Amino acid sequence: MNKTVTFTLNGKTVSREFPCDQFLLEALREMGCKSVKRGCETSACGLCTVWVDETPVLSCTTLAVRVDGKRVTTLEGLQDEARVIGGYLADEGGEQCGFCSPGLIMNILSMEKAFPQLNPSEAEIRHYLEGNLCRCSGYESHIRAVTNYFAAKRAERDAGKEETK
Amino acid sequence: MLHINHYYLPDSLEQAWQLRQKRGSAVLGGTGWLRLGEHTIQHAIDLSALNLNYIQEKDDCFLIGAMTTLRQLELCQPLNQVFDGAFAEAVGHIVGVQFRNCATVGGSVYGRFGFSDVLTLLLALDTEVHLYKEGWISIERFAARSNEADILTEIRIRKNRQVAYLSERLNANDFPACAVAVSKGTDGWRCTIGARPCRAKLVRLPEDTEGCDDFAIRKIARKAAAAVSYGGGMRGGPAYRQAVAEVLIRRGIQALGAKGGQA
Amino acid sequence: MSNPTAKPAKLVGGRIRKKDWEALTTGQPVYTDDIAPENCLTIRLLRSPHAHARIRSINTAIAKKVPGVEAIYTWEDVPQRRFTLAGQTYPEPSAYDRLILDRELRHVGDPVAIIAAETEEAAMKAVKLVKVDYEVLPAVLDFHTAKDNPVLVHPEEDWKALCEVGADNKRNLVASDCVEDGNPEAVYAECAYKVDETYHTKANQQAMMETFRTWCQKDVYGRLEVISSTQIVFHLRRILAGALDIPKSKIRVLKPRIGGGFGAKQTSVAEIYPAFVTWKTGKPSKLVFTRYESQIASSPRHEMEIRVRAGADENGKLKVLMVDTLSNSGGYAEHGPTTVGLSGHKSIPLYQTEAFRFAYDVVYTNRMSSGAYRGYGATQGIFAVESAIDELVKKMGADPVEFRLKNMTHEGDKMPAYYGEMSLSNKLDACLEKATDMIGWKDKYPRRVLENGHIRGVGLALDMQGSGISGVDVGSVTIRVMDDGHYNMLLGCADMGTGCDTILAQMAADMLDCPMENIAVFSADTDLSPYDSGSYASSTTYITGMACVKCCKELIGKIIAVASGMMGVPAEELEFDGEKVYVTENPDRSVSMKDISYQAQCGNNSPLEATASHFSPTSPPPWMCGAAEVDIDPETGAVKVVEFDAAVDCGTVVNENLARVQAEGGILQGIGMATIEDVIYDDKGRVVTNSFMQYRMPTKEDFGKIRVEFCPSYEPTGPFGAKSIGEVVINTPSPAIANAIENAIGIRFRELPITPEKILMALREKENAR
Repeated sequence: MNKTVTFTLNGKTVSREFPCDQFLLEALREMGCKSVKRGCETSACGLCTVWVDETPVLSCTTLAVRVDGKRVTTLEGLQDEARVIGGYLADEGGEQCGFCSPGLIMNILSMEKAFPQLNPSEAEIRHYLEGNLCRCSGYESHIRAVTNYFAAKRAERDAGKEETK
Repeated sequence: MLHINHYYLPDSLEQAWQLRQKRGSAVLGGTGWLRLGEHTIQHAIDLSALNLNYIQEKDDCFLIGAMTTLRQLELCQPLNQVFDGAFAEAVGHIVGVQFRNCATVGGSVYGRFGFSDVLTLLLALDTEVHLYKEGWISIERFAARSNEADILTEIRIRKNRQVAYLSERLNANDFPACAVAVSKGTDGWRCTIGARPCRAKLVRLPEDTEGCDDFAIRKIARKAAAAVSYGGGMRGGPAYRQAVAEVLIRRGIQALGAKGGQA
Repeated sequence: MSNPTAKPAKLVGGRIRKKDWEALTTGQPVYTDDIAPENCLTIRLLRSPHAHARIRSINTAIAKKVPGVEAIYTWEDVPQRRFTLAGQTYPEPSAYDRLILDRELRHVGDPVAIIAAETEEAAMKAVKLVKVDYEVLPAVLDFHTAKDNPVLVHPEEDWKALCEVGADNKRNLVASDCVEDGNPEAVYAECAYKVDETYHTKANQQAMMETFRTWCQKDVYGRLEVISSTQIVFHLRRILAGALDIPKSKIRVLKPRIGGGFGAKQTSVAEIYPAFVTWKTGKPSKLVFTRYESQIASSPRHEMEIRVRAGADENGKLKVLMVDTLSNSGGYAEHGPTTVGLSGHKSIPLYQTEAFRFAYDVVYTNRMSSGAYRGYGATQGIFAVESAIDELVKKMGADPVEFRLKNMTHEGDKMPAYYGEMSLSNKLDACLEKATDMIGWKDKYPRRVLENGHIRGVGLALDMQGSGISGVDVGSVTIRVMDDGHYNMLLGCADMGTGCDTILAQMAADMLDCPMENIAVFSADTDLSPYDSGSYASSTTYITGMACVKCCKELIGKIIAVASGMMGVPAEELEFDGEKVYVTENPDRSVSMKDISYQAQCGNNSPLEATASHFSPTSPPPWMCGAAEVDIDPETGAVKVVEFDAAVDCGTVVNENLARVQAEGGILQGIGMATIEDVIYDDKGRVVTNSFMQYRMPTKEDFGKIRVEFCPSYEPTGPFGAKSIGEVVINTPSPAIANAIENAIGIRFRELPITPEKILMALREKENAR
């Protein structure tokens, strides 16, 4: 059985028919969102992370029919933000093969909501990003990059505050 | 591979229940495990439209809708305040935030998985499960049964117990090799032992656990750990699991402040 | 030997972003599956459910009727010429023991049939409808019993070993050898202190995030185009031509970006199936391994059992090391004869001894075929030797740091067990001092008990690797002048995330005195790239790097020659500074690169480009010391590496960011190997760790801190003084952690991984024995 699903994909409303057992990961890749990667198919690696209504979820085990009426965001819809975080990762050499980078960056970006003060501790960074497996980096470069990214974000926010004073 | 032949988004519990009576029907939780192995679901029932995603605090209990995610349990301040962070501790090791944003309380409880951190914790508390037709039943009774063709709508957790949750894993976000929840209330002490690796079991601790010294606590923990059976499996043999259960039960009792032992 | 690197480094040694960082971090479609045509046939493989079986009959008639099924192939349809999937230089040391599909199945997961269909669903449906009558055979599952077992994994008459590696299929032997120097048995007999212990390392999965995947199509000339996530484009061309029994000229292999390799993709795990389908059907086809397939039928690390005998005299002098290795190659020989060599040749030379012995057997079993995984046998051997050294030190009542400093190989020492090579660049002593400083060895050794009852212990280990395969590996670089003094650099090596495209560009930019942006990198395509053995054996920086240096020198000569013609000044009187060629005595007289490049495009007989190849008669080892601090909960056995400090001598650090991440990543893989990772089989020979739910790997929360410092030596035969770093970094965690655990709780673990269960059970046993 197929079902027509209407949802917002990266800001654009789309209507599409999905088989009711199709997962969002395959659906999004078919729709051209190739940043969404399949790493494990058992919800263990975090490569397929996308946002549904701004919440990071695993698209490999989310049924496509369930995003009806929701906002789906992939890295294709966050290119500018990705480039900024990407720069911090690249400054540490932390992207390496890059295959886990889109899922990781989607999850890093969601931290801004989880940590509105923009000051996650190292332990909090490790815990929040625990579900993003990476086999190249040993993770330390990710921690450095995320720490530097949030430091810059805080500086940006504080500079903004200064200006409005 | 997964096959779903029909997908329904019922707009009433009655409708959901009617669908659940069909052969080959299943209620969709967070679908985190759905991709594993071969499944054919004739009728997949999605409860997303039934407003079952909530944590309500009442004077004496919490009401938690079946579609509430594990991440919500982890972040819910009142819940973790009352139970001293046990919910955050119990679900915080499960895969990652993205997974916990999908996985639901209803799915975790209804599945009655042996590895379930959630079930292990809830069993130690005064928890009831609400089934649409059957009504409220204790989680202990619910956990002992097999799947029923009813709809799990809500769980109710009384605030009447203190609890400590402890687990051991091969690595940080693995399934537990052993999970233990120890609780105390006006009707005494109890503990649950999960990931044996079979379904969690409830063990009542002696009435005089309160006030025990370190030596007595060790004895109680040893006896409690020996009260259930353990199986093997990749995550540990029976001897290891029982040994760890004993340590965790002891630490749980100490954490809840039976005087005498240092935590 | 004088170093041909003439110019001072500007970019070499810097912290430079990878050239592809933006495409990777913004999720551009740059990987194999991202660029596959939509009309590819989907390939699925029917795999053997038995560890050892023979196909009596196979019926595909019903399966072929599934709508959308294009073709189903069985053993009866494939060429009957054996080959190996190992990506090695011809003639390969790995025996020719494969067919695309074989009637005899040698492990659970061995392919039985290839199904190609228009959709995944149709292919999966057809897989289930292929009817196979199996004659189940007794299986060799325990590698201890494999040699001379009456059950033969490869009884076939057309099995063939191209090289003299001691292989014998009638004895289940993949390789066998023994080398000795001095009189090891006699020296050992006279030693005052002796250790004779056996160590066991398990198979591990590389578990790169991108599984094996390949798609193929026919090009306009009817040739087979193979687009694959591979480390070895040129070896693949040869392997596929052999497997398909077609001329090599009919095959072109390209690699896009690769989502990690770690050696896994030095074996042609996936390519033969789509290559065969497209060659037969003429249609594009694609095979993307599921994670399940990547876990059960791939190319994991060889399981090894290693007996070490080490002996020392009363004065604390290590006199002899003897290493006897038994290696489990699984159902096929891939990389079996070569990985085992490193278990001795890259562990024994850590020390200067009077005598050594290294003997080994590599055996066939009915388990999945092993392959190349970062460290490539050295990891296993160094776990054994560096554990044994600590055991010996304990017996002697000596200090593990002082003993090592006294006995280790220093710069200028000869290494008899390393093919007699001399260590020309070696800061191992500085590495040891640095790593012990970093971890606070003096305060922490051997153990501390914390207030919460946890026990902390520290341990360390030394290690080495090589830089390329001496006398074998070839790296080549082509550089062409574009307009305006920009360059195209064509490579045949494979950047699999390591960053070699970037570091080779750094070297080229320094040699050609230009900014990074002026070097456009292209890799890799067998039609366009100059020959390169591929990216494995820690070869690319050292071997291809030197090819790059040579190529730039040659190109500069050509640039000057063109300028000489333009200016009418003899070449000897001219110099090149990156922007122009000028007269040495009169720098105001010059021609710009722009003018030179246009001159080369107008009325010119020789292309303004150069290609250089390089091989090295030696393989200079990088060196490292790793120090671990473990935290053990003695009541539960829970163990965590709270700190791992490493000091690495990889010669000149070409790119500090990338070198550091190589080290951190390799160390964490090593920590995984030491404490978590294990390819587990059931008693029927089925892999139980068949997903990431079951095959556990370290996450961000599984360790405290990894810190890396460099102690660079200068390797006279390397580009800019560089050696390798990719593999040396994975070898110290296992022995350092095992040593730290013994220092903490007084129990020696000789089998990996050292899990909480093993620790707790051992602690209990020790308690009960009291």
